[in-house]
Amino acid sequence: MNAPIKAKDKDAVVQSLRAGVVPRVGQHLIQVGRTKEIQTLVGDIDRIAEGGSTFRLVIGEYGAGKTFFLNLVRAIAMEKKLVVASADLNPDRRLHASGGQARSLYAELMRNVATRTKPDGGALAGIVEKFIASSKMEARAAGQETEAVIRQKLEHLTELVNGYDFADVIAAYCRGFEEGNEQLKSDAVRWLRGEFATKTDARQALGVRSIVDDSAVYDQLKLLARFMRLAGFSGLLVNLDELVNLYKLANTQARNSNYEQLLRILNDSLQGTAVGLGFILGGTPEFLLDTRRGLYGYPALQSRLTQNTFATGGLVDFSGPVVRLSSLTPEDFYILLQKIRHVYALGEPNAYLLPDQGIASFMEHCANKLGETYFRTPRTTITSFVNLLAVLEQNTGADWKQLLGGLEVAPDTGGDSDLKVDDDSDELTSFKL
Amino acid sequence: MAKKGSGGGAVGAVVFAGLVMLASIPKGAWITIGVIAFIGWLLYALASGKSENKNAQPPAAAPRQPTYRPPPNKAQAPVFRAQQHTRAPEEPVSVARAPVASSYSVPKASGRGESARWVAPGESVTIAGTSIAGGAVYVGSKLPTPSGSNDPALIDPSLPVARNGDYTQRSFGYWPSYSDLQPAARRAYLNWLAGGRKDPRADIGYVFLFFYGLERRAILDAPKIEGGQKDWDFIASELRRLLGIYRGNHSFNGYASKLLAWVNLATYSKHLYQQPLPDYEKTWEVPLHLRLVLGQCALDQVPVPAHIALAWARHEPNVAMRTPAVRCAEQFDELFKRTYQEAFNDGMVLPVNKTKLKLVYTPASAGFHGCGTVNLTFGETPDVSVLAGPVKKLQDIVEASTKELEGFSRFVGRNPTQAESLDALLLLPPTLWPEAVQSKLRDLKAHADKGMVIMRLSSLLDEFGYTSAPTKDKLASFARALEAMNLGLEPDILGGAKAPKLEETVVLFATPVHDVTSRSSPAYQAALLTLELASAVAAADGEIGPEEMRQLRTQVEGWTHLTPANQQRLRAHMRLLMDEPVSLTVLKKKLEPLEAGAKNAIAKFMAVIAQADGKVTPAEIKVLEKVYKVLGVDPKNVFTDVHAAATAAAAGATATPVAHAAGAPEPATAASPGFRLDETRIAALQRDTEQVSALLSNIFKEDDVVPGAVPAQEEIASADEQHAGKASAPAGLVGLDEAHTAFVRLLLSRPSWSRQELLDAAEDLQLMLDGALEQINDASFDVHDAALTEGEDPVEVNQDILEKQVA
Repeated sequence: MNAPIKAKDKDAVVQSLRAGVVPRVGQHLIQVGRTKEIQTLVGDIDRIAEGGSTFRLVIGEYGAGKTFFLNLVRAIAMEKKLVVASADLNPDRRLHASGGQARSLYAELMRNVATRTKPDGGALAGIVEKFIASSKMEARAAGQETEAVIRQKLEHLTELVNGYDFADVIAAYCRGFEEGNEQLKSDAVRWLRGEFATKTDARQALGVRSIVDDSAVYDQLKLLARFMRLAGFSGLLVNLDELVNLYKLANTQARNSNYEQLLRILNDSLQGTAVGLGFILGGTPEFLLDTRRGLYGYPALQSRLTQNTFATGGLVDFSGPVVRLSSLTPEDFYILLQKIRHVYALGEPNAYLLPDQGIASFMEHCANKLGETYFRTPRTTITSFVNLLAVLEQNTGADWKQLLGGLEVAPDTGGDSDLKVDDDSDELTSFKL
Repeated sequence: MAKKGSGGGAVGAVVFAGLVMLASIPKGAWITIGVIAFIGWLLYALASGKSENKNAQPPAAAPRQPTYRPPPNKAQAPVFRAQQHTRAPEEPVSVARAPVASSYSVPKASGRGESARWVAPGESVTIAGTSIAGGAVYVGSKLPTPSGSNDPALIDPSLPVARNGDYTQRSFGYWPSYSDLQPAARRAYLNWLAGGRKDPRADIGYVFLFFYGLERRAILDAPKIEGGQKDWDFIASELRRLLGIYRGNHSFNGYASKLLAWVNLATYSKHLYQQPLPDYEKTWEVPLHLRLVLGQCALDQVPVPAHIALAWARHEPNVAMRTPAVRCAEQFDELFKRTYQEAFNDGMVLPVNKTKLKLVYTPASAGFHGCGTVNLTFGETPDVSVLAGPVKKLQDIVEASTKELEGFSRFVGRNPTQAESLDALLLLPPTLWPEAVQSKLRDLKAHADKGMVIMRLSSLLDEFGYTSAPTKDKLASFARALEAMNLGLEPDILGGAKAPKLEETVVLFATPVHDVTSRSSPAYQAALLTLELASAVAAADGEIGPEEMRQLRTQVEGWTHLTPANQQRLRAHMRLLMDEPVSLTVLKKKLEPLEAGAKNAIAKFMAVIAQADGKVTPAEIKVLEKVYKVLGVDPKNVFTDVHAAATAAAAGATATPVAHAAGAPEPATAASPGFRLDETRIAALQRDTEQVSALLSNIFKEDDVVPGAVPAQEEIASADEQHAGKASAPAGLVGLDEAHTAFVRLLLSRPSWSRQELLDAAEDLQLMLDGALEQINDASFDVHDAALTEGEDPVEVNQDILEKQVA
């Protein structure tokens, strides 16, 4: 804990927390506990890097830190040279649909493709170019045509769905570069991003007969995963959050076909048919457990998701596909606040703006204002805490005890919507100093 | 008791005649005559008084050697004395301490002699041609009583006896005397004697006549001779025999019983209470022997043993015995003793009161006239029967015992033949059950001590010979009976559970104490409900598995607010639930009165149970939802709670027993102080956090300027060797081809580039910009743990790396 912290990381963390969202970088600075869970996911990432496939459901209550955990895993994956594609599910983005919602999810994933060098997304073009560049190098070394090398390298992708067309599109991009045809390049990227809505358009632009449509999303991801490895990355991690949106689908058939898609992904990962592809999905307990609308309502999935019968009474087995995150306890929360203070002070204990007692008092204050469950839904309280630190930082003479008395904290009710079906209300959080 | 004076009539006639003559005497002479008459009467009275005294003197005279010796055991001769009833100041006549061998000893002379002899029992004697086989009579012509006259019982063979006599007819007055009888009556008497003294038709006067003899022998003669004990024994048995025949006569019954008591106590041990009690006759007062026993207890301050107390209670006229005590005497006695022992342990210790015990015997025989009553005293032995306190206590115990017997008594009253049936026994306290049944109970108890006994109700009842379906009341009393043996029965019929059917399972278990009251406490009831619910949940996947069982047991053991007995019962109940699960609908009614907090806690506990076997099946979830609904808790909480249970299990924390599920107040986590942190948990978390930090820092290698620089330099150096001959890599970036290396050099020359500039530059180098940047930055990450460029347009070059490069 004594290592200095980069101001950039601090800013990223603090700004995110202040805005009430999970930081996209620097999560490891404020990670509290959960060693086993993280080890499990690190193991997953290593497996993907070795060409394996994984499937994880991260189940936790509202406020338990699913998104935080997912982002941390995402950061770890990027650090381990994986390409990460992330997206939140919502009513318009699903795993399976017929009205373009699945393609929409795919498009969102592709927009958010991130690598270590481009952690904020938009890395797809770079990846493709990196692939082509390395192909070019090989071509030059072997005295061959670049496109021939590309085709040769993508040879074994053609056995997959859309494999031929994928090779065509990459070749088209290469051609566009060599010919200085920007239009062709951008069309190729658009195709890869799933932005072509009709086959006709795609045919006219790129001469391919297929597009990434609702039915081909998962196949396309499998294809991409292999491509990432060819492009010099370790693999592809697909990071899907808010799976509760599937649970919220009112239409049974729609829900079931989504679950069917999940089952397919799960089966592929268990059988190892996908290469270098990992899925990590965040959802709430009811999404998993509800016997009518949750995964438990879908027997084929349920039987694969139940825990290891022998892992009870202190024995832990994280080899099952479900990782459960426990809700925060006051103690978790206390250490989290300590960590935030630590980050705020750039890892310098002398610069702490608040003594330990101040943290405890702050928590007590929250407990009095919000009741005993304040720590289970910590979003608003963390925001308040960061605000408090900000005030203390800017007013060096201010006494935290006085500030604490006037501190307002609002209850975090965002979790309520998780149980509502098709209810898309915005989370409103408020704070005031 | 008007005495029939023989001379009285003649005197009366003379006086009357005199009065008639005097009537004619003139008035003046009246006073003179009156005075003379008075003096004459006075003289007469004095003279007759003197003569009586003279007669009484001899037996009372100087001390003589007693012939009676105490028996070799601790027997003691009672002091008995005959008291003169007429003239008060005179000395009492002691008949016991002053026996003289010669004076009243059995005359050796034959029946015709001067003094009478006692015909020993069994010896036969012939009088007036009638052979009297039984003996035990005085025969002779002279047998003086203390007052001097002949004893009424004496059979004087010289007196005339008629040829016929009817002993069923009375032909004499109240105090008969053989000598005064009519010859016909003598014949009747002799006939009765010859007939074995047993004809029940005989007039009681004859019986009395014989009784007088016994009385005299017992009181006057036997104490003075050796072997008097033999006579007493005989007299006692003879009296009992006679009582058997002539008890119907109250007068005889009274005298004979008294005499019997007297004889019985003529000798006695100092510690009678150590000996078995004789069978007492039913009398209207506490038998003397018993009083003596009690008195001795008091005197020695020895607790009155139960059997003596029982005898007392039975014979104490002030203790009312109701029907059950009489009808079911055997059970009553048993119960009385038990209750008595419960109340007094070894027994009551009686106070030594002032009233001394004495036997006041009023002889029946006219031969004792002038002696008044004959008293038998027992030294300092008090007469405790006059005390009210102990009697009250006895009455209480009798009442308590009777109450317990009431049901049984009524049943036996209605069905006298079924006194041994289980139906009847169930109405009895089990300790009163017949030995055979009790031993079965003991066997069962021995089994249960080793572990729970699980059996069908029918086979349990079979053991006790009961085949038909019992009513709930019967079963309840059966359960009570078992409980009295410290055997618990589940289902808890006594606690209000539904009576099981014959084919249903019951569980017998050893219970430390039997208390029904603690089972009605809200804590126990809530725990019971929780358990039932839990079993319903655990059984949702078809059966209660061993793991679920274990979890339930752990839970039960964690409920430390329950007594061990209650926990034992819960475990048994749990076992029962395995065989006989309860339906949720049944539970719903029971759950209604619980508080919301308790319901929530129970709901959470249910989730833990469902999770206990490591997997939560959809069936279990469904049941949980139902349970939540039944509990009035939002079914949506099922997921939250199951999840919490699952994470708690995964975290290695053994699920904290829901001690407060059962109405016990929640420990003050969120209570008054409002806020508290668990220090140990914080410490554990901090360790965990440090671990995870270490793990993460391996992945996110910090760009440490000082320590990190060294490996970076080495890497560069080694890389340089590999790429020997090549120009030193710009920014330390190695492994890039020429074009990329050139591009890096170009990049490093300026801190900031517009995208278009870079695009052009890349094109010159035959590079694709995005791909090139990706590759360069990737390499940069490997070395510097940071990208070389940032941003899209303009592209910024990382200043840190730039500075390092310059340096």
